[in-house]
Amino acid sequence: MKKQTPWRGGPRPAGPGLAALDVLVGFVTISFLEMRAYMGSSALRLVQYPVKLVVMYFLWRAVTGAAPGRLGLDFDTLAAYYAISILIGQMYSFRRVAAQTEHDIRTYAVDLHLCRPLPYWVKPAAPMVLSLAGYLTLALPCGLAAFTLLRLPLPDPERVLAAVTCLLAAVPLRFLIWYIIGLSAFWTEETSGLANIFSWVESLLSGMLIPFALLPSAVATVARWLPFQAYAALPIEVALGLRPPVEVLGRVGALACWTVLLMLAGGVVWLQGRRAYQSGGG
Amino acid sequence: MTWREVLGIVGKGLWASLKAGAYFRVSFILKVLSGLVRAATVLVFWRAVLQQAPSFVGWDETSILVFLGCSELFFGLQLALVSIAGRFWVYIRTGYLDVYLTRPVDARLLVAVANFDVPLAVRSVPPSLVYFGLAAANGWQPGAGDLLVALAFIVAGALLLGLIQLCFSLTSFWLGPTEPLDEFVNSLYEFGHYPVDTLSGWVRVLVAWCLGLGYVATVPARCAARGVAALGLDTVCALAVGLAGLVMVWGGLSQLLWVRGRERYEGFGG
Repeated sequence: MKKQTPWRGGPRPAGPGLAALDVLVGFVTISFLEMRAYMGSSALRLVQYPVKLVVMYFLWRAVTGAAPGRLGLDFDTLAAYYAISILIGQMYSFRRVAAQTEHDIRTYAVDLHLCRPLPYWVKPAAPMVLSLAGYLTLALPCGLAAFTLLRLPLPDPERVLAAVTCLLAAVPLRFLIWYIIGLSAFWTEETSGLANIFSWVESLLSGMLIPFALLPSAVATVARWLPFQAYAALPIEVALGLRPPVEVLGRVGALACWTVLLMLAGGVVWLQGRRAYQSGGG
Repeated sequence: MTWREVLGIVGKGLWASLKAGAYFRVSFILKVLSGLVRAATVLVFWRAVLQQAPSFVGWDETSILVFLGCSELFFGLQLALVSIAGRFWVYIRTGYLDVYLTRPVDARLLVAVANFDVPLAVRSVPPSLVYFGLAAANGWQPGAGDLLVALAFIVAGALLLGLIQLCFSLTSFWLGPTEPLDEFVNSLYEFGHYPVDTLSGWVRVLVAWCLGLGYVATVPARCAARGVAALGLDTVCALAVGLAGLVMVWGGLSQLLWVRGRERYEGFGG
């Protein structure tokens, strides 16, 4: 009888690394089929983008209207900043990584993965990879539409490329942070409190909530030392011409260091968590 | 069912929810802490805004702090008591509604009571106190009557938003899964985090007065910060009548969808 992988026909690839990759592709395929089946639902989710943009657009119009010239940034720059920031926010709900991991630990679904010769992280990573592929396809037209409707000057293509590079380089880091938060369920069972705390800190220190130029100087200084700026403030400022694209290069190097550190931390948390884990009926 | 029986069921649901919260103490403490972290973040955001424009469209630092306190209370209440209205479609779609339809109590009430999450309301109290405390330090001196009127608007506003969510959710009888609609309505709540006075034109009419998001925090904050007397009793009464009208319209629509939808409902496996 022909031996098959659980996901696709054909022989199983040799080696644990290739097997993990094979299963990741399998998960992505399943997620893609699911997304195609519910295409209408997926498209409707995009309506969140203009809603959030309208809120910030009117708020900053009122603020700049009340104090013209007082802001360090003009209204057009602020509108462009939030048009990109909110678009980045729609990239992927990284909280899902933590929620999925927590759910699997709490309901003992992780037991099934412990029986397989694959690292568990493949499961929460797969829908993220698929979602990012879909996002990259849709984000550009959405951003173009927003900039056109708001009559904002379009950023230079090379700046956009540098910004996208920075954003993509930050994805593993974001994944690892939320994965570790999810793994804390080995001890706490419920991680939404920790996730809430982190998401607020992250939104402030990444520049997603407010541009660094408007933050108190002490907070802005701390934020510039942390890696969170790589997935909001830095790419946005590069795209808008407020910082040179070359800064991305240095930041990508720093991101790689942070990512390696978090990979090690994630491995330690996983091993310690498994010791604390009692499994279904344990 | 009599009102007394309804209140009895609601009371039991609240008590059960509190007891359930006690089983996840660590998480609850973290949630309270997360509320305080959010308050700190939001304060940094508004401090940055107000340093640029100390007053805009009639809002200054004190009234913004009162606004934030009202907004926090509103969303705490809404999440704790009626947020399930947005996910009611799950019960329709999966057929779980069958279980609730066999009981001699309105299925909508039973689903709501079974999903009460009182700790969510409790966790919104400390950040609200922080906002109100800072407003008081800025010289805010509310009257008891003003606070009661603001609270009444907050409670009625939470009920209104629950009804609106329920209306969208009940379309599941025709449309199947309405998760994207739920997410869309949730995204509209973003308007509730900022004074609706910043909006203009048809956006303001639609958001503030058709969807009632002006009642989330803007109206209560106006009542609490300025006082009912300063706003004018006529204005406050007109706002209350408007809110009552919206509750009746959305309540009537949800009842119509519920009745017509159940005629189409085929139950589990249908």
